[in-house]
Amino acid sequence: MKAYFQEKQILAKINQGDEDTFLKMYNYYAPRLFKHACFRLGSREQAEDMAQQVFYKTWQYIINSEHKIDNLNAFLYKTLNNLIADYYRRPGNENISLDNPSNGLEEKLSVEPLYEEAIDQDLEKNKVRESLKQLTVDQQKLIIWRYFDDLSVSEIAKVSGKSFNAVYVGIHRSLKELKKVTNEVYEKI
Amino acid sequence: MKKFRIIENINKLKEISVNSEWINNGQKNLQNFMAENPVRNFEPDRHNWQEGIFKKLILKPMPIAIIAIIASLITGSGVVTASQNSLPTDRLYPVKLIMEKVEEATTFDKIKKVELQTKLATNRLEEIKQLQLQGRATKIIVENNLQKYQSNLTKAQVYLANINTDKAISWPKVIEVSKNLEKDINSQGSFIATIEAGAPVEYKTVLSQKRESVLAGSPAIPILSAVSTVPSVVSTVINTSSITAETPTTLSIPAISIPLTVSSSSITSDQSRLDVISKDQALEIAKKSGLAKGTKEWTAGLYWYYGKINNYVWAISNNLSEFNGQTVIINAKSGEVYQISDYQVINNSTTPSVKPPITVTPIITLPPTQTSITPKPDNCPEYINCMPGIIKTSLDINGSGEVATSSCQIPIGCEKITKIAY
Repeated sequence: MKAYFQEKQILAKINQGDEDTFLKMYNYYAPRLFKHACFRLGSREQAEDMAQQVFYKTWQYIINSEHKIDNLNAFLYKTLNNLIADYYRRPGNENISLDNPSNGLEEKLSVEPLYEEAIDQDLEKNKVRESLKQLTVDQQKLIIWRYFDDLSVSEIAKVSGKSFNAVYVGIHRSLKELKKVTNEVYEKI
Repeated sequence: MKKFRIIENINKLKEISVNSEWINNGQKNLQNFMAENPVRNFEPDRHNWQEGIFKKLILKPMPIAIIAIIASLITGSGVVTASQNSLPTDRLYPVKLIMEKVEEATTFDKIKKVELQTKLATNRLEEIKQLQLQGRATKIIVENNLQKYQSNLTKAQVYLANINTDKAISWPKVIEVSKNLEKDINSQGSFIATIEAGAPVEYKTVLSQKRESVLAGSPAIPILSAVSTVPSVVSTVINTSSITAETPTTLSIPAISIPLTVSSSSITSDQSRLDVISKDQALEIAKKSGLAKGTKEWTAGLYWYYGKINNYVWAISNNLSEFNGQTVIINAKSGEVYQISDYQVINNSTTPSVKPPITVTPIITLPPTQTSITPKPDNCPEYINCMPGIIKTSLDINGSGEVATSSCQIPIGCEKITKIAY
């Protein structure tokens, strides 16, 4: 209960445009958002750029909008999600298509040192990543939000604009699917 | 692989190194960005987390109902009633505050919101008085209460400013509410004075500062501009001058703050409803009173003069140079000239490409009365009326002649007793 009120107090300060609190929030969230963006985009530069933009956009929202932010976590991830969606919508930026989910990430896998290191370090971890790519984009997002970013189901509902139940069931199914795919990959090996 | 192993592995994927230099640079950039785009500083206009929680709870009637039933079973509804007379430092005082918050959150009528805030402001003052009578008042409590009082009052003004008469509320009602608020503020001013009389030295200064800010009419300004923002209440702010929407200027004559951006077309029809003298008549009176012709065409505006006059006035201004001029204030009903004052245009902006914000500051000129009287401290009047009657007629046509003035200064030795009133 205490944590709840503390969170509310921080949120109120941010909504009132308290710069110090906003900077503290930046220090806390910037690495998380960066990791999320990095995981989804596969490019450090793009991820750094996007994680920064999230804060500029949030500040602009605070000073311009009549509405207040009622869940910071969800708000930041939603902003980031929109930025990533915008990025893929722009011509010239390759998209992770639904028909060929492995398309974007697989190419990067061969290029990015980030992933190469990961392969060497942990084979099992890499298998999960490989399997994750076999899922649809929506399923991937749900898994990333839930287990990579540790968002709660209600927060994911806010980020994705779906109902609580849809998200809850979606995560369950995605995880089931992921398990199936992972085990298939293992069997192949 | 089991599900939990999969989740574990996804968690391991988080191990992406973050460049600390990027974080630090980003923080600096963000700091600069925030400095360039500051938040508007109007506290009551910003969001209040407590209200947010109450509104959320109110939207969930079931838990509220359950809590209310349990609470009333345990304590009986007497607690709430008993709390109504509690004072700060009492055990039941938080209950009273919560009940007030609930009342705030459940009041939806805009006019009632204004009235409620005024009532709450009065409550805070009452509490100080009660505490004082019981000898329990301390500086901290008094300061806290006065702060709450001020915030309630500001809230009332903000609510008043947000009233939109396009909908159900008619403009006479809005004016009535704003007048009531002004009346309340005035009576609160004298109420603070009575509290101040019996207060110990330690918080006397706080009280007198607060009283000054109340009596100085500063709250009246937002009230007026509040009414002036209401579209159909053109009667309050009427401007038929040649200055149109292209000049974002605010003319401030004492106790009036009016945006000069109301279009002239909608005004002419409203003027007839007000039963005031016409612009031409006002210009004629200004001419007779000796307003210099000046360099440009005169500008005329019809305003509601808040304060002791409480009437419509015509403000006719000339332009003696780019930087100064004179304004004649004429009673819009009787045609009586209240004052002729000088104003200066203070240009705040240095960039020529942007239209500079202009502030017009009138310097009040007064008739020659009580100039050299230095009364004894115990003869100090409570107020000095700085609102002049008819002004000097020998005003030079070019505006360079000396204008007779009266003493609008507080007599020596009376600084702490005498207040200026308009």
